Amino acid sequence: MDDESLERIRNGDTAAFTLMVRQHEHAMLRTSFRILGQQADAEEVRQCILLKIWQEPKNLPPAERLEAWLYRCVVNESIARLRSAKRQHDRNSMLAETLSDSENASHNHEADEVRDALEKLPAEQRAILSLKFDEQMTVREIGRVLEKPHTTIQAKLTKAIKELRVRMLTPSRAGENDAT
Amino acid sequence: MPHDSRDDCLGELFKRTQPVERSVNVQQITMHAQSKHSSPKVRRKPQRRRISMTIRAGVVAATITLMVSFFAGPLVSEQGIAFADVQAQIERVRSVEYIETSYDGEHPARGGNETTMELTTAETISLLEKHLPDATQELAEEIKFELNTLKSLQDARVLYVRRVRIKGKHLERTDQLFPRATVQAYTAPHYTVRNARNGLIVSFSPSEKMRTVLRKQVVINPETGDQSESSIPRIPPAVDFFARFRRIPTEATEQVSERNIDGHMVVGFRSVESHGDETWTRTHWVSIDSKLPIEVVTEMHKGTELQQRWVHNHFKFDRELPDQLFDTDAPADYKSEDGKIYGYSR
Repeated sequence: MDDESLERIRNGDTAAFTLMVRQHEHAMLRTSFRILGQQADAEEVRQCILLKIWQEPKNLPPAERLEAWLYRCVVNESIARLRSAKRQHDRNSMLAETLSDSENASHNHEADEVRDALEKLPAEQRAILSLKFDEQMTVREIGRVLEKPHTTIQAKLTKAIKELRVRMLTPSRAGENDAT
Repeated sequence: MPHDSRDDCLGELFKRTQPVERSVNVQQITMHAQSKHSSPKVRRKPQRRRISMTIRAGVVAATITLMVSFFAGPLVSEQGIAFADVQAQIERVRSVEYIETSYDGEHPARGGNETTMELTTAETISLLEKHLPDATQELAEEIKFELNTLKSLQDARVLYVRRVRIKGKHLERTDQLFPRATVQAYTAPHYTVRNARNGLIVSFSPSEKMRTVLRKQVVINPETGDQSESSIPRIPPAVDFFARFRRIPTEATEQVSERNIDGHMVVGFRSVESHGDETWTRTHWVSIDSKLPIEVVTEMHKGTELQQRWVHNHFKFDRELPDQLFDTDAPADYKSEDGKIYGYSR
């Protein structure tokens, strides 16, 4: 997406807006999903951000910063939603809501495991892991998204990976592996 | 950061557990939200909350429908149906059944002409009628259903006929009604169950009492005959029926005049996609009353030549479908083996 297309969006061009959405919609969903753990919430976050862009297109950055800016919007909005949800609901009611949605409950056992392990990590760590493993970003790119020095990101990423592995290697699972 | 091979495993795990890719309904954003371009006085926060609640509840408010019919032009029918409404309605569906018929575009009909291993539609109908009097009540219902379907296609150049049943968003069963093998007695048709939740694709042949777990695919080059074998990629976490509707950008649909199909007034939404020298045209004929499809016609052209045509019809939505229809386990007296899917590359 170039600056000319972004200018068209600022002038209310739906075709240019659609092009931008199609280029970034799946990445936005993936990142939000890792932070929130629920597809429906992630879709809402994405919808809210896109709605905000369409309503206030002057906030769009230049083309070279668009991608990092969109990711940052997703991370910030997802974390804000998570905090808001924590204030409003206790953990049990959130879980009940998750499990009642047959599709979102789990695609499969693996998805459950990853989600359960991620759920125990701080939201920022989840965002960093998603940008690293879903979006295949380098630490410098992640740093640009989260507006932090890459050295800080590197340290946080190392810690997040370590903690994720610990969460995923629960005693029962380790026992199963040994038995086989 | 030094590379750790275990990072590759994590990367693979993340890849396998990504969310279902659902396209954004851009029309809903651009039509339903008043942009700053058109109204500098828009109150952002209440608007955002309203849209968010609308999406969550899956309900399109009357005011929004009015806005859509005013702004949308060719994307909205005279009855005020937008393709976005159809997509929203499809998302609410809990089960669906339909018949998929594939027609050959330019070549002679299969069934007796190309291979003696397959029965023609007329022979299949004759076989079914022969066994109808002795069938149990349950079986007779199945046979009658197949007879009605095949009789309506008797003179057409049909490649295959399948009955598809979908439960939730992840269970799909496909029964092959035509062509059949040269069987002498009626047996339940060969069928395949896909469980998108556990990734299994299992084929059953009741006549041979055989269960086949499909794990590999073999792609045959029609020019050279060369074959390449690979693992079947992990199937998406939702069956394709829903994904097909989601994938179509609403702004890419063109409205086609309304008509009557089997007593239903329908309006058409047509979309065209190009892939290399192939052009895929899909027309969704949608009931004005239910906003659900009555018939979907897909045509694939190479240049100007029609290569193949698929028709999905006889839709039944939200019927009770027993779980055992989608069971992937082998019944006690069945043999079980691993198998392959064969297909031709284009």
